Amino acid sequence: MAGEPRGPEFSALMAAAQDGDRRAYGELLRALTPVLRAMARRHWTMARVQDIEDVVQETLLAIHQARHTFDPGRPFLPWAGTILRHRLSDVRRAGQRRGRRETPIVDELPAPAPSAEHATDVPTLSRAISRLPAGQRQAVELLKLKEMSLQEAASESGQSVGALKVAMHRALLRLRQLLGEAE
Amino acid sequence: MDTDRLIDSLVDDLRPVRRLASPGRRLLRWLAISVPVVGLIVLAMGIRPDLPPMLLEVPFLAEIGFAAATALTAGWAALAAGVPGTPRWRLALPLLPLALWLASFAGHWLMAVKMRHVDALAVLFDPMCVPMIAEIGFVPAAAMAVMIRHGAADGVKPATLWGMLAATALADVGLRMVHGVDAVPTVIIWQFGSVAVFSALGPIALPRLLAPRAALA
Repeated sequence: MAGEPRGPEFSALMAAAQDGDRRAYGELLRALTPVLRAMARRHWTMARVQDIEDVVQETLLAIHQARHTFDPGRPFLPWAGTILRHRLSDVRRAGQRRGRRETPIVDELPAPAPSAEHATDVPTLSRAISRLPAGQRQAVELLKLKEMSLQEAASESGQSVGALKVAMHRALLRLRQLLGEAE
Repeated sequence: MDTDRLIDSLVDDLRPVRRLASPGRRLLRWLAISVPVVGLIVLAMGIRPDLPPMLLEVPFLAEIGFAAATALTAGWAALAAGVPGTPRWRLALPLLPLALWLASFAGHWLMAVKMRHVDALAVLFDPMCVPMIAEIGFVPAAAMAVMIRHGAADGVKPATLWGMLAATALADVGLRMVHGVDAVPTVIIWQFGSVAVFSALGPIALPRLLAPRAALA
């Protein structure tokens, strides 16, 4: 698409993001997302749409955490591509682990209604929450169990609203994985 | 959470970060910390009396040179492993000086055992050398572990292996100024043993112990 950032522009946007420029960072991540999706599909042709989206989201999180390692003098896409390949391996391994425990009949069942999430028994859910890393556990406890608002939880935990959102997102992904293993 | 909301969260969470220096510059910092410490410990322990004539022997110089080259290349690879996108062949560079170092060391050691009729197993497990080796190798290994923390999480395992090898090789250079060849097997076993332990425990312990974090500006 005309006007989309290319390699050198990705580097410039990331350099600005390293200096704290949120506008440049938003532009970078939004432009990068379809590129990551295409890269993930190229490496994993048999993946479901949700798997590709998991890989993209995990890659965005990893890029966020590793952004200080990017050297603006070097090309951006090989840097981001390496991070994506690591996340791709993680998601595929997690999928294979789940797949070994499931029987084919599961694929034929209708998708559970959203309310079915609440049907998970409390001890299993408690065990899964207790296995989360401390930051993610605190996000779940404050936002879901104590039903605090993001502002209240941020004030209680001393974390920023953005950090809490990221921790909650990671916690939900991890819980989905843990509850999948427990079934 | 959909991807657009995740991006909004990441943008909200953005803070300025201090860029990681190049692996070469960080290697110089590591050497600036480690070499003086190793040198001071060598001086404190006392330089071996036969060092001047040994410095004229090619096998001795070759062994020291290969160990130093291993320390430099493994140190660079350890620090580069935390930078996504570093070509894999560059991360494999320490294998060449490592092979030469181990070959020269093995030849030197076998010759010493043969000529002096030393019991090889007694040499391998000389417990008197362990505190000395620990002293020489501790600061380079600790400094490297701290530096590895600043890299990306995906590179922690290869970085740990190469970093411990770099500390091993640097400790060996120092040790050879103090001690005869007989101590080298112990340094190898002690330091490489720690590498094996790190490798075995890595998947469990390293993500927490060496969890890299962005350096806020």
